Amino acid sequence: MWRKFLVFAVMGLVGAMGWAQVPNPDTMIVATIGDLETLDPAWAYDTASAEAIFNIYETLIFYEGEHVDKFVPMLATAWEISDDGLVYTFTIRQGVKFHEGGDLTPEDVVYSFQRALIQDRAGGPIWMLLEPLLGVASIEELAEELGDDGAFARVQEAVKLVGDKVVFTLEYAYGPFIQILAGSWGSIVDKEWVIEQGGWDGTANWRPWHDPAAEESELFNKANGTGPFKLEAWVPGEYISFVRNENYWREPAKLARAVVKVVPEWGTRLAMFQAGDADIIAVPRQYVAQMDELVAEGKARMMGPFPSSTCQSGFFNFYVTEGSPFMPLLGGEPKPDLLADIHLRRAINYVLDIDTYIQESWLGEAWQLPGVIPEGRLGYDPTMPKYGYDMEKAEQELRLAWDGALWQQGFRLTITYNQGNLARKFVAEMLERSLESFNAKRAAEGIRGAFVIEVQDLPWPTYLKYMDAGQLAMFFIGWLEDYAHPDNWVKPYMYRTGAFAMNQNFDTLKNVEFSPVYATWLPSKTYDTLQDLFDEIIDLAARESDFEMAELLYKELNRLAHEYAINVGHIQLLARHYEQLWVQGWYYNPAYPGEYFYVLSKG
Amino acid sequence: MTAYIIRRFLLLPITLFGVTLFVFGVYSFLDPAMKAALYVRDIPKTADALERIIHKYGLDDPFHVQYWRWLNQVFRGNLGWSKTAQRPVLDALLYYFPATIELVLWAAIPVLFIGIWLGILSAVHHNKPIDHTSRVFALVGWSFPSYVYGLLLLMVFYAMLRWLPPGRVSDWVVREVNTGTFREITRIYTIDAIINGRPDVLADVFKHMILPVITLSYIQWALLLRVTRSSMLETLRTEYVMTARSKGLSERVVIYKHAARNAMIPVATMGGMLLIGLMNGAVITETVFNYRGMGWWAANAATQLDIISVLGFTLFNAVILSVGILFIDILYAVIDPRIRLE
Repeated sequence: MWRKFLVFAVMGLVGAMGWAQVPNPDTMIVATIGDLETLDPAWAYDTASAEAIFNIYETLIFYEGEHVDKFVPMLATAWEISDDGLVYTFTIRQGVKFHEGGDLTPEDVVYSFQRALIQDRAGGPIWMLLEPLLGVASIEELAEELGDDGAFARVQEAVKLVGDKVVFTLEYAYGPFIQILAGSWGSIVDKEWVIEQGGWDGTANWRPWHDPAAEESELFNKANGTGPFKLEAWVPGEYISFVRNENYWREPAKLARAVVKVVPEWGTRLAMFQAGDADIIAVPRQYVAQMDELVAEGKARMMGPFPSSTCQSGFFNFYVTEGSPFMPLLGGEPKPDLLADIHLRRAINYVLDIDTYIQESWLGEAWQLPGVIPEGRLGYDPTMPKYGYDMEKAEQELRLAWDGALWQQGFRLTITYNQGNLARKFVAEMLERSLESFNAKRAAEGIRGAFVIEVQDLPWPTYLKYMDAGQLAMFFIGWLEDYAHPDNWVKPYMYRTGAFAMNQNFDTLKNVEFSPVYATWLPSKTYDTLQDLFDEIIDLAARESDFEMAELLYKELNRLAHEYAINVGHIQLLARHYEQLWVQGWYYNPAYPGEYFYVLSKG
Repeated sequence: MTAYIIRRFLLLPITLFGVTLFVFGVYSFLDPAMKAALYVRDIPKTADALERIIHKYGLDDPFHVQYWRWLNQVFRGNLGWSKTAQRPVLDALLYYFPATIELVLWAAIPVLFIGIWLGILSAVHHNKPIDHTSRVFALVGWSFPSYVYGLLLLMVFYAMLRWLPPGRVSDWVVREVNTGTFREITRIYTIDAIINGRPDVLADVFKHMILPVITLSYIQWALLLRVTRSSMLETLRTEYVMTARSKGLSERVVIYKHAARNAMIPVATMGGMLLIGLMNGAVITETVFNYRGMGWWAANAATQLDIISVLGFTLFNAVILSVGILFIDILYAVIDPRIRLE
């Protein structure tokens, strides 16, 4: 017995000694789940790559602390926006050196953006710059219209050097442009150094450097920024490490080194944290209870929950494209526009027990949003109406749908989600149970023809294929914000070319009456389609320079999203951060792609 | 036997051709849009994103065109780009394989020696306490998922005691590798440490290897123990063993010279399976211990739908397994002279 006691005592002592020490006091170690794809700022479009880039490179402007809508000068010392909102002029900071010794010049800034515009890889982030600067979603589009030289001439016109200032000329006034410039795709590279590495030489012969595969980019696995950390090593699949930039133009970072390790297995990450070998770890939601135990024992610190920049939603397709294996039926007959009926969409919103969904699927760490814009962005208003769980209202709406035909004849609808996503499976099955529960009542009324809801999981490639073809009738998916602005919510959810909206066919609703509630200066009128209405207000909001008017326009859009019930179960997820007690300086900014090591220290 | 071996080697390209055709055939069930979706991690943000990817990689070309294009690349030593490993597939194979071989070889030692030794011991002391203990030990090994006891070992010996960390080596070794002060020659670090004359690195490698080796070997160890025990029990009951005993030979000679050799025939057959089992087991062990080897890479490639890596990995495994099975066939003939390979 005493031997057992001794063993446990020794273990406890060793443990206690470990917790009291600060291991590797000048090195921050983060254990995370996924590896980065590239170190090329123009190619990167994943958070892991962006995290590395944002510690090595710098942008013209940067977020002010925890704010996503306030900026401080970074590589630009000042900027001006013309009254018409079309011209952005930046003064570039002097005396800044790249890690490899080159001086930062305004030419580097122009080159960085022009390089990004001509690179424009398929599925990459550059559409965010192309749309406001050139009015196209891809450089290919412009080249098809104007030829390669013509397209390049437009690129040169959009981003140019005027005197010693860098000038961006936009196709149209676009409020979120400043937010977009703060993204990792807005990082400034050293022109001479990139050319030395085999990069684009700045001439009109841009084709060879257009749309490279990740590994074909000259900056795939090397980096030379102006940021507080230099790239030390990237061993793909294992880790990336950074060392302090001693010649940094601001005060050098407190940490001498930072390492981001790829540890996909949760148990291993937890063990690393417990052993003190990881200072910060990624904690999936299902494991927060294990971390909370450590917090309760005083062995870890939890910060949050914070409203994250991720939402989950169910989407209605107003007109399912022909040939879809998920074609909805009304009374046994194909009905591609089944969900174009507002009463059915409202009914689906009312039958969802959203509180249970949030509790069961997200452990209570999410909240329902009115409209589409999340908390923390312009236009969000928690007092705006939301759909709540109400089976009586649902029944009323179902009886009204398709002038009573839906209730009398029954319908079939397939709800899809991507395979393996349990939260989406759960909410789809909740809807299935709730909607099919009306069958008993309908049977009692002597009605034949049931409400049939099929829940279908699809492998990711299949899911994307059908979604892209507009063939999913109703689908659940999430959205991670690209830039911290309501435009990045109303665009994907409501705009004609938006990632989700383009698969929802809002054009199906014709002759839409509009009377403003918030943006009262807008005229009441009839729009040809619902899509036209959405597009017009989204464009107005994006171009509006007056803060208060922009806010009212976004509120109007939120109201319309609710009024037309364009989605169901739209929730904003909350985020937590776990760190060792010795980690200092961390704060939450939802626009950061990962840890910003410059502000962190240990002690 | 030489003709047999040559014939088997000549059959290897045909086997591999069949494997690639099969795997590529499975891949071709995906239509162009699905294949393009494999290239994007997130939802396409622009309407033409998938179209551009299809066009860029020729994903809408007929099967034979795509297959021939891929095969041509393979003949030129280009197995494609692994997005999971972020390096060419061939480089990834050469990078991860030594790590797994190192783990598997170290795991094979306890499997072979302790498994066989305990099996013999168990049979010789049939129904005695040592036999019962070994059987319980084997039963536990068989029924306890390696994923669970791997994590348990990690929690006790790493998280609590901090003796045996995960990963392949410590950070300081990694930094020495990166700065060139420690040269990677074979990428089998135990060998490299000896070549570099670095006992400190060797100690670090062993420290990282203990838990994965135990986790990986236990189930195979238990399996071999059972097979050896059964085979040995059967052999000990044969007439020639009784004859040997009646001739007055010592028990040691009877067991190790006469009985054990014959009892090893089914064990040798099992050996090949064990090697395959160890390679497969490396997937879980490497994942739990964050040990970057083939298993870890293969599991990640499969979950991330990295088809190019899966193709390369399958091709490589087919070569390894074909050669491995041939080797076992030869070994079988060596152990049992009655077997002739035709």
